[in-house]
Amino acid sequence: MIDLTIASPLHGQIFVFPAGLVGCPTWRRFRFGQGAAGPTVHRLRGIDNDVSLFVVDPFTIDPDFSVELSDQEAAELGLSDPSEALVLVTLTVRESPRSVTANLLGPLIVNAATGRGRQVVLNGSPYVVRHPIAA
Amino acid sequence: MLVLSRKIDQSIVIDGSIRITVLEVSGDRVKLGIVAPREVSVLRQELHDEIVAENLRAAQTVDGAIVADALRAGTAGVRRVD
Repeated sequence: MIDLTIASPLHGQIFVFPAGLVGCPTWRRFRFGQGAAGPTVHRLRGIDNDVSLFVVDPFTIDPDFSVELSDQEAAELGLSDPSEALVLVTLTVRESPRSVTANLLGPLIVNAATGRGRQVVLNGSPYVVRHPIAA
Repeated sequence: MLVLSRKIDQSIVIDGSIRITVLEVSGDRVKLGIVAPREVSVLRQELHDEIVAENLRAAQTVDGAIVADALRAGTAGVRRVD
């Protein structure tokens, strides 16, 4: 099989989450890059620590995925238009039985122009922390 | 930790802008009303803990090949309508 690896134009950019991720306040600065062979998986690598997260555009998992930001959240990220937002969800490999899940409940929203980001919790949404992708 | 006692319809105010009111007490359940600025995140502790635990687990995932294979298999039938 030949993998067509398409590098995102945003690869190499630094994303800053001023508040860190939920429960992980020191996870503030990441470099956005290629995650794995294949076009869809990206990786966030910590700049000030060795944290590494595989992330994917949630719309590749669920084409109907939607995020509603409060005006305050949008203002904090400097977002005035949805097209400026990069939405990512983290991926986790679970063992026995092996499966890969995506955290659709706590997506990362990044202003693609400025790199400023925030993890939001979609309280009251139908999404779950461990959305199964494949066994 | 501060411990204080309130009756139904009584409140506490945190930092001048967050108000938590006891609305109802029934057996071991307490119903609270919370008024807070929009930028303040209010989450049930269980939900907050779930997100924290998942962030930590996601950081333990180091094999990109497994992730990529699963995505290929799991999203083979998914097409985004542009």
